[in-house]
Amino acid sequence: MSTVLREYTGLKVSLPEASKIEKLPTKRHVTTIWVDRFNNVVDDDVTVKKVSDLRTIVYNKLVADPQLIVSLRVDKDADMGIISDIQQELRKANALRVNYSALPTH
Amino acid sequence: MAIKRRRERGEIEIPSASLPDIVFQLLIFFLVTTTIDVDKGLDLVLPPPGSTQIEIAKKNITNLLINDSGQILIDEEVVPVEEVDNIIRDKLLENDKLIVSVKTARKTKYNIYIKVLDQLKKAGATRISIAEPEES
Repeated sequence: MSTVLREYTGLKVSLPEASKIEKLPTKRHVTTIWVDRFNNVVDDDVTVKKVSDLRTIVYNKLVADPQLIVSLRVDKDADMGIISDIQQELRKANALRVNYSALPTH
Repeated sequence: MAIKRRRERGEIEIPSASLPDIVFQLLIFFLVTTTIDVDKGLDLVLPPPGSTQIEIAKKNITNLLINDSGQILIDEEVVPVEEVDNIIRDKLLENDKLIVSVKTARKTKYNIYIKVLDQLKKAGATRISIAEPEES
């Protein structure tokens, strides 16, 4: 079958809006990190208790799939502090391609 | 007997001539209403870990700070979000080697950061550097 539906839902986030958005080139090589307004972090279907755990989680995924893109679905009311911490962990895990999920502006 | 004969004569059937119509209507309805959730967003490539500090000439850097109250400062001057696009585009025209260094505070809202990134993409800035947030 050609249609792939998502089997996990992550956290409830309200995404920010942006105009210069691009489609993710692929769906297969994507891991999604959710951050909600209460600064909870979920990677795909795993709840991340400490942001520092993210490094191993993402690193293992990157080893399994070197073309990995990290999609960040972050609530617009989240703080930049946690986002920056996540970005630092992603850098350490060598997962450098990120995509900030956003909705098209109306 | 009369009843039986009548049944044999006129077999009652549900008219099925319109069945293909119904099928096509359903098919078209679902084709139109189904939306497959596509991830869309702003692409960015993070710098590699532990990258050696690269010396960049001061004139090639523009500092863009978003403070915790959501104000945007380009080279120490407060500017509205909608203006970032134009200001950066002008600066890029003057100097195409320009690197925009985006710095946030830890309490800055993500929304404004995305807005600024969007503005930078609009301006055509490709060299964007993300600085570590300031402790506040």
